[in-house]
Amino acid sequence: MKITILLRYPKVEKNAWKLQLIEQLLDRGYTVSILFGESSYYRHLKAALKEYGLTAFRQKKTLEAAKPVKLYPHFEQKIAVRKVNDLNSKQAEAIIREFAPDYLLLLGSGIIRKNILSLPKHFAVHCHHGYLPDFRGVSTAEWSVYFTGQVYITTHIVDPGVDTGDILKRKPIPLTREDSIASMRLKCREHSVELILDTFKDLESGDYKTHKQTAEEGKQYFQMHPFFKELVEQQLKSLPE
Amino acid sequence: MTDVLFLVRESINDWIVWQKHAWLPIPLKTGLDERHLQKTIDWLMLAIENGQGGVSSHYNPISGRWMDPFPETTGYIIPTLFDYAAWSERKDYAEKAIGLTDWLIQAQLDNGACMQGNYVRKKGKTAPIIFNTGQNILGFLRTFRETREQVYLDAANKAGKFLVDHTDDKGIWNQYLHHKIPHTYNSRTSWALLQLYEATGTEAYQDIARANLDWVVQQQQVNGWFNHCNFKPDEHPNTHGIAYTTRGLLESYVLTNEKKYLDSALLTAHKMHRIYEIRKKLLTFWDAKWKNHGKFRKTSKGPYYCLTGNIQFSIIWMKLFLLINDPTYASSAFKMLDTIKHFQHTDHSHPAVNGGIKGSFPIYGRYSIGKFPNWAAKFFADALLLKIGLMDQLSREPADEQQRKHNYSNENYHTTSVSQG
Repeated sequence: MKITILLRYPKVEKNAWKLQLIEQLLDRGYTVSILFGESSYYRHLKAALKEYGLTAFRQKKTLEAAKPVKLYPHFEQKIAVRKVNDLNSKQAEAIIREFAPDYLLLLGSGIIRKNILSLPKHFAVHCHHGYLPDFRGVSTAEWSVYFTGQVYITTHIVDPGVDTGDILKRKPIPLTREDSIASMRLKCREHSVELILDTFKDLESGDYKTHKQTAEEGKQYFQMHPFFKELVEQQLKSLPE
Repeated sequence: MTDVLFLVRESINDWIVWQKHAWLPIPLKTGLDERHLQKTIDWLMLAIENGQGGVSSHYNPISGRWMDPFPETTGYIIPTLFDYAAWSERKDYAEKAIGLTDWLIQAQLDNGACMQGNYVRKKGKTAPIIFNTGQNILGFLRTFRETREQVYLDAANKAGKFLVDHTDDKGIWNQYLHHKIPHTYNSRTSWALLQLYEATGTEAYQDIARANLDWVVQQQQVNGWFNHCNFKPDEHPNTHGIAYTTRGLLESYVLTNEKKYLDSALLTAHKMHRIYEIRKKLLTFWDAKWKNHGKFRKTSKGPYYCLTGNIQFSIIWMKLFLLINDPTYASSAFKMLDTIKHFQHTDHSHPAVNGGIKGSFPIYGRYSIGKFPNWAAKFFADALLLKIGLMDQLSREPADEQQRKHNYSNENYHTTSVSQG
């Protein structure tokens, strides 16, 4: 099975869970290729400033146990890895055609348009931090805890909407009162490795069912205000032992 | 004396912040709500001091002076002062509100209406306006509720009678309208009439209010857009007018329990909420496809905020949170207000600027250009009072209680199969 992974920021991308996931996909014998977007320094800077403001230049603390490894140089010599400025561009289209994947896997790629989503033999897969269809959009792990005291992650087929594609698999994330928002997010990422691997295993065997979602079923969430995040932190502290 | 130098400096500052904004997110100023509220109220008190009995319509840095009192907004500033008096436990603010109501009775036209524009002593009273009359009723009734003095209810009744007497045969207001065109934002006038109906039981008030609200609902398109939402002919509607319309419908729902008013308000409030969250900003002038434009020209996007309109939408979203228990609206409202706090001076040496809210950000934007209008400060004070109250309430309630209370979009969500570790 051929999988093309879409990522961004080749100069800084070093999430340990992504490294672990890609290594395990390779261990399972899949043919993995990676296409990085947003590759120029200008785009890195612009994205970092938009996301973090001037704090972008501070050293980020990480809860991840593994030593961070930059993915681009790590995989450059091992598998097919390419980079472009824009993952929705004609250039990206041509590279993906060249890779000829069965599936695309989006691991933090931003919004991917129809012209790219239609390229793999089957479809594009994404792991969303929230129970779909109920929690679409962003800050969904936080909103999930706020409303229900629990969090799921969901793999789904990517369509042009926001987290509206057919659902593949869901997984509950175990939370304890020791958790914080940061540790909960990390748990979501770590568990997504297993869920994505399980999803591809099912896809390979053909033993899978998809669940359609309608726009009316769920709701799109947006960035949570810090005050509500404080409430979520309190809620996590009050979870049962 | 003119404050043009201030205006130039402020324009340059705002321009720099706006340009920076294209690259950097404006960080949320999450604290200091009470300080911003106090400064806003201090600014309003200064506007009252310079208002010849009412509230000066705005401070104009070009002329360097406070403008004449504005009866329309004086009407709806009265409830703000009573609310602040209750929150701060300071009776003097309530007394100030009563004083404003007494002035408003003097400014009331013989036929019960509120006049158009500013009250300029030399020129005397001007033509009546339906919308302004409704806003005065909000003030009269609040003072009546606080004091139980008949004179205020009489003034409200007099104004109400004017509103009832000046409709077409279907009960729709068709004369004494700003710029002689119909306006959906008269939903706020209906809201005032419904309050008057509640206070007096006079059926005619309710009938006229509902007739006009139904007309407003008819003006709404499926995308939440309202026809006839503009202030002036040939001008694009702005967030201020759209928020007026939406709030009028929302408050009318609270008083009538008529679901179509809530649905209508929700449609537009939700649309603006999505636009704000997706585009990360809410600009000023709009067309029927929710595209931004300059005040008159389609070629410009109108790159500035009408701060009043944005603040008004934050109020609507917080009210929606209270009504339908959806905290995502409150979250967006808090973000909006925590951004706007950056645009308010709280340590400026110029008293007419300190605590005031600009018409536009940047100050040279085409809504109330270069001015500090009293209604912007009024709505900011209302919004901060609401925010402080909500945050206090949410902080005190145990998390499981909030969870139980808040609705959540999909009732079929299955909670039983989840491991909580």
